[in-house]
Amino acid sequence: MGFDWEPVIRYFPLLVKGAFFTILLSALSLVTGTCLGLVLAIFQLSKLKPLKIFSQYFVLIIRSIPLLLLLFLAFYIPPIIFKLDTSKFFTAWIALFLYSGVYATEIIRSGIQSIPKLQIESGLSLGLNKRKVMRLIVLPQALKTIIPPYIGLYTVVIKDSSLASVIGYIELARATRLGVMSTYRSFEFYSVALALYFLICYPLSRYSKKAELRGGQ
Amino acid sequence: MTYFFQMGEAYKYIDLLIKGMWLTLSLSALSIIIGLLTGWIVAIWKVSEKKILSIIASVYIEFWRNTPLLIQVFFVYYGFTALTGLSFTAYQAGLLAIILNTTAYNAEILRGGIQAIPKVQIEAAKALGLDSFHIWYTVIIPYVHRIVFPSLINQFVLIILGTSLLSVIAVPELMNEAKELQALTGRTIEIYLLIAGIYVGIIFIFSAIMRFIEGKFFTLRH
Repeated sequence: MGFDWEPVIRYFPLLVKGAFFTILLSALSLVTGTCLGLVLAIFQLSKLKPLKIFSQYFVLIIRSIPLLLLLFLAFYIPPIIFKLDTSKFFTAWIALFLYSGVYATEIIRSGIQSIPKLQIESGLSLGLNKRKVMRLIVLPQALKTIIPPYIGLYTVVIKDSSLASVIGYIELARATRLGVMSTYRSFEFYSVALALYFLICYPLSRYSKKAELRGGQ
Repeated sequence: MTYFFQMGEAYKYIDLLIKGMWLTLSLSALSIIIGLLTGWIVAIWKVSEKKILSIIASVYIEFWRNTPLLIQVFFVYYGFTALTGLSFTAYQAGLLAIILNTTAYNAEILRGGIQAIPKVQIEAAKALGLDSFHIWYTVIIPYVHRIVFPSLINQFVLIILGTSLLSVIAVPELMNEAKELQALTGRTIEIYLLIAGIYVGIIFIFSAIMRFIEGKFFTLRH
């Protein structure tokens, strides 16, 4: 069979650097995606019909196209239509930002809607105005429902960031590819890459499961 | 470059895109059907009382769920060939990777469904004298499908979208054909917007069909 782990060991620092950029890209995309998700969720819960419909269709459409396609569109549209010269990081970030944003919308919206109406009515009858009800009663409790699937979303973004390798952004998947292309040790490199992604995602998914069990009070 | 959207250029090669679309759909259909069956097997192992089956299932699920599909595809296509003497075609490797991937996700979904069945149902079935196989076949499996149908549909949609990743190993599905077309005609945005529309159309139609099926066959009747 002839496994040769030496090239992988030699390339390991590069892979770790790639993993670092994977986490960086994913974290940034998720944080900004959360803002987008919040905005879209508020739109969907608002009473204004146009906002509601816009948000629903926006989410539906982004969720119906592959992330790879979104990435290509983000890659080609800025330079061709807007005449902007964008970096690969920016391209990857835009695509992941939109993608994670629409998934965040679902999570946030269902989290807010899971708060029993009674809570809101009690808050209002106690004399709190709508904003205070949201801030002091709804959001803290919604957070408990939102956090477990949110951690799941983070692992999804980390895994999907591997697609950024296709447009040449240097993160873990791309670093692995480069290693394979120059040393031809495909099995060794891809198994190490799988292991690294696993090491990043598995603790998160365990934490998410624990948080889910804890939140069930 | 693309000041006037020259969709005419894209339409000339529409039959190429349609061929790609059919491959996308057939890959998806195979993966959905086989992946659901294998998902059931792994789910049953996971909830089994035999510790060894449960552990194997857990390891399998955690491995395939916590790693990216892209690397899984590369691993199966390039890495596996180096490991064993067998060489897969891109199509076989891609299909295998997607099936292995979706099996793990399906197993998790189905396991959740199995564990959500009210204990009274199982006890009632046992009281009626049904044996283990029949309890599974007539009670558990249909019940679970009713509970988890929406999650399964979500997973199926992800499979259809996931086939686009096979373009990186040159499987001639829709995404790949789009890349080829783009290289051929240079009309990048028109083509990518066109296949965005095709994907949205596929997903819309698929979701509508699934919602209809859900209403007809899979609604919980209480």
